[in-house]
Amino acid sequence: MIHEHERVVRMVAELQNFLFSMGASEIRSEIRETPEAFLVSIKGNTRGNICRKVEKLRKLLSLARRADMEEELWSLAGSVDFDTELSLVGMMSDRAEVRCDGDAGVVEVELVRRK
Amino acid sequence: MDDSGTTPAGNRLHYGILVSTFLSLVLAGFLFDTPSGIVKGLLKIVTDPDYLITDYMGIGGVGAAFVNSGLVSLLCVALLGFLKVQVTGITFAAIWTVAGFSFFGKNLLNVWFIIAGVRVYALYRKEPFSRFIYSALFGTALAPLVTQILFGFNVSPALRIPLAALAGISVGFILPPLGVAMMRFHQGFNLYNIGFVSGLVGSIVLSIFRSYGFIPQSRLVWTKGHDLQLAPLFFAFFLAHFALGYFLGGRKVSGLAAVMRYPGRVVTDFILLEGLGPTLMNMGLGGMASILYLLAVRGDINGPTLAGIFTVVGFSAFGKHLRNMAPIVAGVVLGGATKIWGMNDPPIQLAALFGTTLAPVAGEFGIFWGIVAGFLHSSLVLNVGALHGGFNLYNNGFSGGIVAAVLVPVIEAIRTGREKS
Repeated sequence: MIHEHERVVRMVAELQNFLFSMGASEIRSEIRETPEAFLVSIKGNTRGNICRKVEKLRKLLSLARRADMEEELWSLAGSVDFDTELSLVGMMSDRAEVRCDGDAGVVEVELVRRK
Repeated sequence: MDDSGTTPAGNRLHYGILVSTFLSLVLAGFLFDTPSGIVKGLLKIVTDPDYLITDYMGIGGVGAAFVNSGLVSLLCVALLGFLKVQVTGITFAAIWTVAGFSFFGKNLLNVWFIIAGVRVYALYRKEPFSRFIYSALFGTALAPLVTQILFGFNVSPALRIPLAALAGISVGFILPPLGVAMMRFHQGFNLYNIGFVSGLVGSIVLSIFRSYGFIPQSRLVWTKGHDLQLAPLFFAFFLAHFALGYFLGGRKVSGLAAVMRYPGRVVTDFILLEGLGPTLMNMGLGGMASILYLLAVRGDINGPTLAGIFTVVGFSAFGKHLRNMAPIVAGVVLGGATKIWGMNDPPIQLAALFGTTLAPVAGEFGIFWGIVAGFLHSSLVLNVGALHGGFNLYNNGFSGGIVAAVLVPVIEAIRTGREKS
């Protein structure tokens, strides 16, 4: 698969855009590459309790991996900051975990993308 | 049952719907012509230089056009099944687009060269063909290029046949990487991305042709007088889609309301997001509204407009709905009231239907900008065809890509400025 690193960077950018749109002022991202997979972790603060909105994020990121759609559309991920392509990020990931702490105003996302 | 297609049972249901839809199209062809008439018509269709605008109903007859559309679509569905592709909204969009354009430009012969080119690209990349299947299906927009070389060039068959094959395969080979690169140009606000890519490729190919002295004549094969037969037939066809969606969706319309809340920018796969029932209802509504629009402007129901209607229906599973399409059509109508052409001029009938490629502009930025997009598109689409000489069947996708790429950054700048002030 070509542009593998760019694809991962765009997935991270998309999630960062999402957190910004939720009012985040501090976002920490981490990407770890192993021989088998990319492990992505993103954590951001949010303005108020947004756990209800995060349900939609969870639904979109839980979409099954779709190599056919990814190949056609991956370059759209992270491309604009006024709309989200979170379903595409879901289709580019093998596993996604979303945690939301409403009281602390923190959202954390972990993704696994197998090679 | 999960009807998003993510389970084997859901996927089988989706395949079943596609097969029965396009099988019914084949069978409907026999209402209009005899079997021998259809065979003769199909032979005429596959040997005709079919660049824009060539209505297959005027080449091989209504029956042969139906059978061509149904058979090409069924073969593409069989290819998807062979590759074990999961059928969702983008699949419906691709197959319905192929079906529509098999009424004017794609046929049982010319599509395979492009598809083979994408297959060669997959082999070259050592990746499964299924990864590039949508580039292959949408990429058949350039199929008339193959036919033109095969049957439109006055040189020996020993030269024409390998040249046509080489041209088709070469074009198919370059489409997947171009599709990815060009998506960034319009940021997903033009739903027919491969139409934009094909417009660029077609422009380069035509420039080469012109350099060797080949200048294609403009073409308009446009049939009239089928409205009384075809309008009720297809209205009932789309009503059946709506009814099936209603029952599959648990006899509720709330899912349809949810569909209409999406802006529709790529990637908005309604089957994955809201399920099959609401998506089928949305597709049915898109088809019925398209027919009513054509009747209202005294347009024609024929091969090219059926392509437009089918594309609206297909993309109503992948981004389009009445709320985001209406402002675009309104922009084209506004153009009709103020510009030098009429609403029922053939290219403008097509611009209104295919112009809904810009529906995400209206969905994201509102009615006003949707009307502006439709208004600009209705002029631009009349001029870009000269660049590729009609070899790109998705001429509106080419125009839509340019309109979106120019308009979206401007809208963003204006909107951001207004927010700051």
